[in-house]
Amino acid sequence: MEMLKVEALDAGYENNVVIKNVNFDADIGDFIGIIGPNGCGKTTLLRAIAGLINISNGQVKLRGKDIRRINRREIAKRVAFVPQMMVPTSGFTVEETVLLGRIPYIGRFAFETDKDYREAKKAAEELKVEQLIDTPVTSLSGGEFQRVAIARALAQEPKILLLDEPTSHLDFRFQVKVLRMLRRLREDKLIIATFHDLNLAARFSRKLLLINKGEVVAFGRPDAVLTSDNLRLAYKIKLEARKNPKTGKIRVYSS
Amino acid sequence: MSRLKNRLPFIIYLLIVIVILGFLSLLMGPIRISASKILFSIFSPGEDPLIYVIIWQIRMPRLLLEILSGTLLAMSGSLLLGISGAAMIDNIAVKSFYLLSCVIAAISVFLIVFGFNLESLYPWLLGSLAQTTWDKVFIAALFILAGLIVYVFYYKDLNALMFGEYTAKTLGVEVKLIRMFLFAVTIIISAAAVYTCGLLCLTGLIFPYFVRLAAGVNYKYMIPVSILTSASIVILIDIFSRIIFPTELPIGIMMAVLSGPFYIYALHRRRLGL
Repeated sequence: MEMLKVEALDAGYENNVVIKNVNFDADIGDFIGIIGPNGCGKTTLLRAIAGLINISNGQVKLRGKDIRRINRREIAKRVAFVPQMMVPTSGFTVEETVLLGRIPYIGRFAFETDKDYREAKKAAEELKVEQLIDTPVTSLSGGEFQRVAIARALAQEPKILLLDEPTSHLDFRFQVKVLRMLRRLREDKLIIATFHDLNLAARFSRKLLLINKGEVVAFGRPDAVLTSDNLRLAYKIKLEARKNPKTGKIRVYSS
Repeated sequence: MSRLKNRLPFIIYLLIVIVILGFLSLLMGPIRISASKILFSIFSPGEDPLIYVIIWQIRMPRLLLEILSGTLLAMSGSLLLGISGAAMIDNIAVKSFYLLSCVIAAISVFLIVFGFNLESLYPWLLGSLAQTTWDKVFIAALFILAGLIVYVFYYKDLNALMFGEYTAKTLGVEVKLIRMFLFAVTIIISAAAVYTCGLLCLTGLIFPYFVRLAAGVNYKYMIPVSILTSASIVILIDIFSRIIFPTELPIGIMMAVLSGPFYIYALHRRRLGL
């Protein structure tokens, strides 16, 4: 059974359905990029998959089970979410921030165990922030903090990792660095991330999900999704998608 | 940066401050007792019956109640911050609360000036630490114990809430339920604070806000630090009020007056760009 199945999903906020009739499924090893114009519902879709908002119709299924029937703590052990622009909170070191990811594993009347510290350390190492472990998060650079935020999500040992614009506030070097790290994690996880930058999305995602006004325009391999027709439909301006003959990667140009 | 790495020494400094202030507080009173005699009476009570009564039946319960009041205020103040999330000071409840306290203070000052007898209302409204008994101390301690248990088992949830409602949810925190529960606990602890030092003392709920500005919002450390800070402030305020008004000005009035500037600062911090 597939890790994640989204069926005829309508979701949104009170009296405001943002996502309409979204269908797709995905499995461990996938890296799905969600793209689309501003306000098209990218973030809302991620939140619906994380079980954070109201599902008015359809279903989000984790291994065949409706997410609304799984309790929050169990969801937290399987699905982790890295919000856009998580604000560094004063008073926390890197280690303490990453340890927050262990909350679903710590019993109500229990404390962090050695295993929790080990998992936090492992997550920090994977994102290469282990040397910053005692640094207060407020003194990190944007790129460092974004990696800490991802490490916090990894400490949840999720099967599905959701990231909302993981690269939006990073300079070019860090964008590539963070995405390379994510790509390495892909083997035993399903990664779903939203993107503004179509070229970054095309370069790192295995599949793209293009949405417009809450509805899916196209879903599939980057070269199948990033066609001039699809892009015009979603972005309302003329964009041209060209394949680089050397790398086989697709690039989008405005013309 | 170092303030995070070395939190333990900071907590120890605060403990030392409390011990010093506590000792000063024991020195205060209409009957002069020398420091050495007080020390002697603390470590071997019962030598001098008069000093024993003054220290152990009058000054010590009062001091302890000051510390306990500070603790209760710190607990409910920090919980209130945690429940309302990041934007506590914009919280209308807190603003209106302070307004209410000010109105009560103004009315009581007015009534006192015009010679009304408010004595029966004092303990409840203004809060007086005079004539503190051990019973009162024990009851306050009971509430603090309950509060500490909640803090030990819920600081994780409070920390998660500091990163926003969505993040807390994705960490498995049942946000609505936890907020309701913690709010109930806050009300009970605030009620206990009113019991120990009067309604006006609730103005002291602002202290944890400043602790948070200075020390950050990690609840693992913030609650102990605000407890120690608030307890020191209450002792200090009581010492002041006894120096300035030897006739015993109720602690609540002093608290309201002295915490006023803090509220003004907190409410206008953003506007003033401080």
